[in-house]
Amino acid sequence: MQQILYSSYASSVIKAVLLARLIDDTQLKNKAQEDDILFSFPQIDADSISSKDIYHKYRQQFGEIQWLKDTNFSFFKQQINMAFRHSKPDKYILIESVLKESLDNSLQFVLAKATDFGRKFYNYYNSVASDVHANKGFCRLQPMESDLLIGKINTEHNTGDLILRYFIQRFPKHKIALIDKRKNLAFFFDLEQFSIARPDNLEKASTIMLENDIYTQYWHTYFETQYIPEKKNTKLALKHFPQKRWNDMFEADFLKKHLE
Amino acid sequence: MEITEKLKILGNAAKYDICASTATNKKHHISGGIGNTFQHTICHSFTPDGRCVNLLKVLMSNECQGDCFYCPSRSTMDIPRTSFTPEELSKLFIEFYKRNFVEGLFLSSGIKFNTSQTMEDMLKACEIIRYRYQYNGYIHMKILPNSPYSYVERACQLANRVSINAEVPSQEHMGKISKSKHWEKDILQRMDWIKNLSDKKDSKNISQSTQFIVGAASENDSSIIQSMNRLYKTYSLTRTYFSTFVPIKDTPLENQPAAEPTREGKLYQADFLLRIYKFKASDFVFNTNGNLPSDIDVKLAVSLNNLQNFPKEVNTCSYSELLKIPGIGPLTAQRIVTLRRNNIKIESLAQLKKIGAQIKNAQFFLTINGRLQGNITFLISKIELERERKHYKQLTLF
Ligand code: SF4
Repeated sequence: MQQILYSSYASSVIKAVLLARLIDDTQLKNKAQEDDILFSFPQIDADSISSKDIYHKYRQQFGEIQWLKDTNFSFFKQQINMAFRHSKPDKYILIESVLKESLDNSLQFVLAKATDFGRKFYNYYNSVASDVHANKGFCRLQPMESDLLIGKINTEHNTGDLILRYFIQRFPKHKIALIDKRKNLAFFFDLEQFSIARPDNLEKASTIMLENDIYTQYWHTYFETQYIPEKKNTKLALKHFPQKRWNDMFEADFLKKHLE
Repeated sequence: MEITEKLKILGNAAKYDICASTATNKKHHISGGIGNTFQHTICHSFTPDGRCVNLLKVLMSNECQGDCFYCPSRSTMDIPRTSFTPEELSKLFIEFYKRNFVEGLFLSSGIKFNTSQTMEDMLKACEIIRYRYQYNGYIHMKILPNSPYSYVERACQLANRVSINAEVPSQEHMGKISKSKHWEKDILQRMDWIKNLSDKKDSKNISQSTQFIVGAASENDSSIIQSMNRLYKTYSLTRTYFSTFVPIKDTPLENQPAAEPTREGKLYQADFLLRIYKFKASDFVFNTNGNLPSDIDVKLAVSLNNLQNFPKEVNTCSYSELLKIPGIGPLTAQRIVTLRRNNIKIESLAQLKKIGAQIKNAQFFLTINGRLQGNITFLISKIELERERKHYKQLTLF
């Protein structure tokens, strides 16, 4: 048996799945996965072979893959790239299965969530996308000296760098540091370079944020004015703003008070 | 007055203005500036009423010469009055934005001395934000009724979205909430200017929305839907918002009952059906009082009233016909059509459910490969039974 290795991005896993069809007796393995078997097998690195060659050979043996030209293909690749960031380790086998299903049936079948794998794959993609989306909104930044913005994020999946990238675009003249307490990681951009660190004292790093910032106090005042008590609907509030997103936020404390 | 006090007064006075959308196609490009916009909305927090707070939504001033009968800021009210200066407001906003409290600014105002002067202050604040702070993000600016053309034009340049509240469905209804505002002259004419400005090539996709106050002018849902439909068609509005009337003490409408809380939600459903599902205003079904039925889904009510158009065959009917089936939304309809184009047929209700349909209602209005999936008389008797049960429950309460 041979192992086909691939990286955690769409074009790599697609090549690996096609290769697995072209070569008998193979096993797929993501490069980030730990070895769980005692034997070592000969390995083929999908990244070392060009897509053109693999597609060409596949076409000769099995015919055209229509969906590679489909308008939905680039969206599908985006979904794969996001699903790779999911925290559950079964994402690898899921992505491989979804690709095999697309080859056997049709990409549309998978994208329409008409199969169990397609549905689970969509849920993984959606969970990662929601994680990014929620952190874009719920992360609070604190302006510091030397044009530094420092903030706390609370990610469920491997999305810290995507969130940092979002803030880099939004504040192109600021250095940005995002601290993820849950993952014990700090993401940093110094206007030139991007780095990830495991700070020795994350607790200290996250308390650098000033407690007595006047604009934060103004925000609290403003936020309270926006509540309409006659329309109280905490069930709806919790649906959009679930407890897992509460990130030492004043807004969460305010909601909590009204739940009692 | 301290900023904190001003925020309390001017934030509180703006909270009934509904608009949480920050989705926009219009981009401002000041190179190296801060902020950006997207085609989707990002929420930054939620209040216990379940509404998203993602904009600094304030009045420039709550001083007002206006007489709107429902409004807590009307000139005769004995309340603390204050105004932001353009400097104060712009600084406050940009500091909120940097802290990622908000996604943009929503700026409205009472009419301080006169419309022009108030609009000037609002425009000045937006100019500081755009040019001094080099802000490329989202701004929604209210156009005050009776604003001069040049101010409307400037607002369209500075903002991503502008809006003027229709408030009521017609001039006749306007007479019930204000003596000084003229519906056609003060409001519709400005909508027309905005539409013409947005049609210009250099307008960079400015969008326009409006808001109705539900229940303030004894209007019914039917009149709101007719009016909303007209506004969409004539002025190419992007969205309509609804705000339920709540009587405020010491206003001329203090003794008028608050609007039924369910009306707002039903009107939003009707709005979606008009805009996204391409229903016609004449499709809707109303109770004898002209309101949408409160105990049944709006789309389901329309379908039950047009049973001659059902069942539809999921594997052959068009995208727009699929949209008419209760329980099938645009995404599911699109999936069905795409599968069909790839020679994949729907074979069962379970499959339809997997791709996103809500089969609880949908099953009664469709066939799959010619096979009926539910008995419509069963659904009708279930609804009637539920109505009788509610009626009985109400009777036993008295
Ligand atoms: S114009 Fe009418 S609605 Fe607007 S603040 Fe004045 S009184 Fe209120």
